Amino acid sequence: MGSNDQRALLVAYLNDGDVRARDRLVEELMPLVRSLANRYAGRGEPTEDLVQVGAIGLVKAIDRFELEKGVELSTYAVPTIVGEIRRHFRDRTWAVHVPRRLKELSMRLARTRDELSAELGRSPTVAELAAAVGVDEEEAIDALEASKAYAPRSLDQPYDEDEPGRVPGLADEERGYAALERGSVVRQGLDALDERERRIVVLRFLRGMSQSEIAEEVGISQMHVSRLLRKSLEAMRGRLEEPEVPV
Amino acid sequence: MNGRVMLEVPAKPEFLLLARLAATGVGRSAGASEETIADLKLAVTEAVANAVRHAYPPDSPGRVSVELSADGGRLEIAVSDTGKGLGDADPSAVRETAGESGMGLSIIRAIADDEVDLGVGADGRGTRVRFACSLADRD
Amino acid sequence: MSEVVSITVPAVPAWNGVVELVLAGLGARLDLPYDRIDELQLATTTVLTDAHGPDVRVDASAGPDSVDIKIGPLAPGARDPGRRRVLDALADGVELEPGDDGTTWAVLTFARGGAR
Repeated sequence: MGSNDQRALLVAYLNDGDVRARDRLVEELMPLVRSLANRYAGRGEPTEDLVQVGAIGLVKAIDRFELEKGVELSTYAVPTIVGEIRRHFRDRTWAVHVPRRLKELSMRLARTRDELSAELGRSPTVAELAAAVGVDEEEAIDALEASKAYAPRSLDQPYDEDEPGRVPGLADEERGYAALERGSVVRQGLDALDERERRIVVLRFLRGMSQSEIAEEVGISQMHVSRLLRKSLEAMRGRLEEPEVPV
Repeated sequence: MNGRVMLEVPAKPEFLLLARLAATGVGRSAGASEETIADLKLAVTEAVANAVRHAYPPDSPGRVSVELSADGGRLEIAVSDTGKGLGDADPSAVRETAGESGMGLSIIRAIADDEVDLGVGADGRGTRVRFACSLADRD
Repeated sequence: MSEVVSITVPAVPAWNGVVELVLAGLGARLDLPYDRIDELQLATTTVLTDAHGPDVRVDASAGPDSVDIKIGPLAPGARDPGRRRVLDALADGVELEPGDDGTTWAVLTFARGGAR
């Protein structure tokens, strides 16, 4: 279907309310929805669910499309489709696979972990964390692990109750980051991260600060540091596995 | 998510935690409900505890393996040891035992979907207990 | 002989969580500080990305001074220096050993006793 035909269908739907035209457009763009959904496959959500959710995004994009704007529908629809898929993960990854009980417990454990670290002068053991919160070790491990389930790479904000972190001074981190050869794999990976994630990765792996030191310096919880590191490593690995795209 | 996980640990009580955690992990990856995961952990605990208690002489502990396979809407579990096995004991006789083994087995039977297969381990040594749980809503 | 905990999973990231849970259980039994457990998990899952073949195995054993994690089979050949840098920051020792059939196994060593 050429772009003129698409345009005709858009006019038929948006101006004249022809729902069959909309259905035809959805059908036409389902391959786009599938290819976006496949990018998020293999993360514990069935791909077909992601495709359904993506299709909802497509319909929303069609509904919102402005004929005067002169963009292609496929271009216009991508952020909305991706947005719906990401939201699906945010809603489901916690709600279904990690029950609310675990979510609350993991928040308590995060606070307790920082408190105990300050008291003990070191990170607490699982036994100490469990005793402090009043659960058994197995439950504590389950909740601690569950809090590491994060949303798809790079774009989502991590769920947490902390204030946005203060970030330390630029100079050292920028030097460390710049010192990596441009072609190096870690540098490519770091390029995939946002500024805060990158600083934390650099602090951890190039300056060798511990997680609790980073937490204190940046002003966020250790759990948050841990989650950002994991998300960052995952984003780096994802980036490293992407095929080279000519610029 | 379909897949097979195999955990092998010393047949000692402190490693029961690891078997339960493996069961939790597989259950979550397979999208099982919390109730199913709780059932699964209980059944695995009973099977592994049995091996810890009976499979080996106290002075020479051996190992126990837990195999968890998620396949479609089902989880198949096999717990094996290479210890002394049932000997001449008839598996159905174990069912009647009032002791811990018998009770453990009844618990597994109550949780499992179909018949619980209790028999000789691979290589003809030791004991293997096999059962399956569906991942759909359970009674 | 030190006792080995061995877990074999499909070499697909979705199963990393199972490995992490078991490592956490081991870490709990060894009274490791939690941030140590976290980094042990991070290092292990980083190595898991190099798994070669449908399944990958993680063997964990603990001595009085260290926890050793052996992971394989991994794709043979030179390791990526960037990833190695990440591992060197997380673990106290990183060694590569040849396995059967030209595969490679990684051995990560984590000193016990106190957070880094």
